Amino acid sequence: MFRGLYTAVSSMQTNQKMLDIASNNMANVNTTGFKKDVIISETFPETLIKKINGQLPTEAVKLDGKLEVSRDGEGFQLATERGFFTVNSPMGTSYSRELKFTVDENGYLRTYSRNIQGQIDTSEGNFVLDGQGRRIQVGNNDIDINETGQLMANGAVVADLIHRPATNTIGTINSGRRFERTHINFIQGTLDETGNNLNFAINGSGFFKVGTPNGEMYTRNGSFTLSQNGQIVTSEGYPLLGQNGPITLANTDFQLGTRGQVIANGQVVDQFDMINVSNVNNLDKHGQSYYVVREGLQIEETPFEGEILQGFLEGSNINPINEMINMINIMRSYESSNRVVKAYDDILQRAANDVGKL
Amino acid sequence: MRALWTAASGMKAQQLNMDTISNNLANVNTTSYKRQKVEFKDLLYANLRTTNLNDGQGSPVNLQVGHGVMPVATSRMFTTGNLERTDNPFDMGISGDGFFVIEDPSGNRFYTRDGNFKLSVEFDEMRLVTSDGYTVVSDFDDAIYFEEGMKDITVNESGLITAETQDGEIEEIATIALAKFINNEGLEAVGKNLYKETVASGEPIYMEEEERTSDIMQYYLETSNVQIVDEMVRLITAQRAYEINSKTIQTADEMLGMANNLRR
Repeated sequence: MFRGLYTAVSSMQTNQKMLDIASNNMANVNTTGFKKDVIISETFPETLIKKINGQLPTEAVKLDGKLEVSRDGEGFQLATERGFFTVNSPMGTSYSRELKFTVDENGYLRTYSRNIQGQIDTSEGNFVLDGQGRRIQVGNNDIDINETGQLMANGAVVADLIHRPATNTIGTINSGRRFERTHINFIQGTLDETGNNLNFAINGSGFFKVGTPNGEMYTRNGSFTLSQNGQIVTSEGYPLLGQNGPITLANTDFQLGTRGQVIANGQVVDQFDMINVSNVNNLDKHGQSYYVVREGLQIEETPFEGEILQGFLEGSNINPINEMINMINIMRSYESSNRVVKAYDDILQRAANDVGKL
Repeated sequence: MRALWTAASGMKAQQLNMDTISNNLANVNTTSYKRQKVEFKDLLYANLRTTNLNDGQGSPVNLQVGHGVMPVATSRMFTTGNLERTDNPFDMGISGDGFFVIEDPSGNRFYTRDGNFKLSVEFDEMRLVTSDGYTVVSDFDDAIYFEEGMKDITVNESGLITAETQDGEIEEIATIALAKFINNEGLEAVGKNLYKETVASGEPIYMEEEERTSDIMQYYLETSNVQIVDEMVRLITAQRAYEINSKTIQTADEMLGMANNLRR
């Protein structure tokens, strides 16, 4: 019927899911060690619109125009006035006049984003296609772009990045937005002093390892107690893991070194088996403040470099102000899409009732 | 609208938080009261989609929606309160991690750090009891009796009670029993400043007189370890967290209202 009607509705559905995530963040504003979820939504692919009949536009697609190339560290940023760049998005080929890409570990050209540490991340990127719709692989050669938009590797032309559509193309359009994925934001939470010997907070990145019936899980929630047999356990009774499995103490009178050394009566009796994960995007939340490795993926461990503070707990990293603003945004965006749907409804109502009235 | 239920779980959790804080504040002057704290954890997550639709890429994608928050435990903080001098010879504070052992008339054992003891008169003897009339237990698993006319009752650091009899002799009466637990947080509070052992706390470990890690201080009572300022800050955060979750409910409600009004 009307393309825009479905576009507006897709935006409303996305906003509803976004509110679900935002409300979970807000519900956990006081949860120890909670890390907020960030929503990533993406537009549907930009498709080409063509003129069906009548006069062709005098300036269809510029075949000669500027091509701007700039570097962003490892990445390239291109902007063209002629033709379109094409990428293979999860829902089909998308056309655009601008492109940011880098070479991933398998030698493919892909779009990228930057993570919290500012490093380039291509794990969720879309593949860049050449003018004929094929993925481009350059291996680990040095690449460059010439002024006609061709990709050079070691001085030889590998592919033409620019797709030149038929002359009756008048531009691009996308038909909505979808909720693509969530991303856990591992920024440090506040450090709250509790004075309890069995409360630990991690300052810096890293996780406590906990042995559960479903295997090892990781957590930032350092609120532990002693079990009746003297093991350091979580509120579910799962043991905190040290160098040789669960850590056993005679009583709660012990000190903790900043690297997790357990010192009782002046002797180091054990050390927490901390884990630091470099690719935190491969972790899933399991609930009860635990993280697990996503099925089918591996994690890369790096040495633990944070410090552990005894007598502190890490608070939630939810900032209520940001979440409120986020929620207002969601609601108003929902409202404006809602208005669009209403406007379409008015138009349809006229078509149904007023056309043909005398 | 999952958001409605998620926010409701947030409000319920903050209500419990509020109940705990108000109980702490109510007990700000209770002898040897130990403050409690609610601990929260996030609820289960629903994985809405686990693979990327990118053909050939097939890497699983994070798309997790949480269901809110739940209280998992109320933990008690066994930090020592201040020891305040009262000048009453039957007031005893504990410096260290021990507990007095108390027995009620039906023979149930309880443990307390409240050393505000009294004498209860029976025939021509006096028994050492708590303010509820429960017996204070000695090292011999027995009640502690004083004879009529005893004076200058002193309790040394290891709990040995001595008194001057009517004949002017110093007599050793008994030693007050002290027990400790491997996990204090596992103790169950039963009111009247008393705790009961549970599976989580482990069995009481009776401390021999020679190897006590706790000292008994006569003429002192341990105050509540509630810090008003800390509780006030918690009160404010709990109230605001409650409020923020009610705003989420309002937002979800308004969005539902808009959807309902699409069709006039």
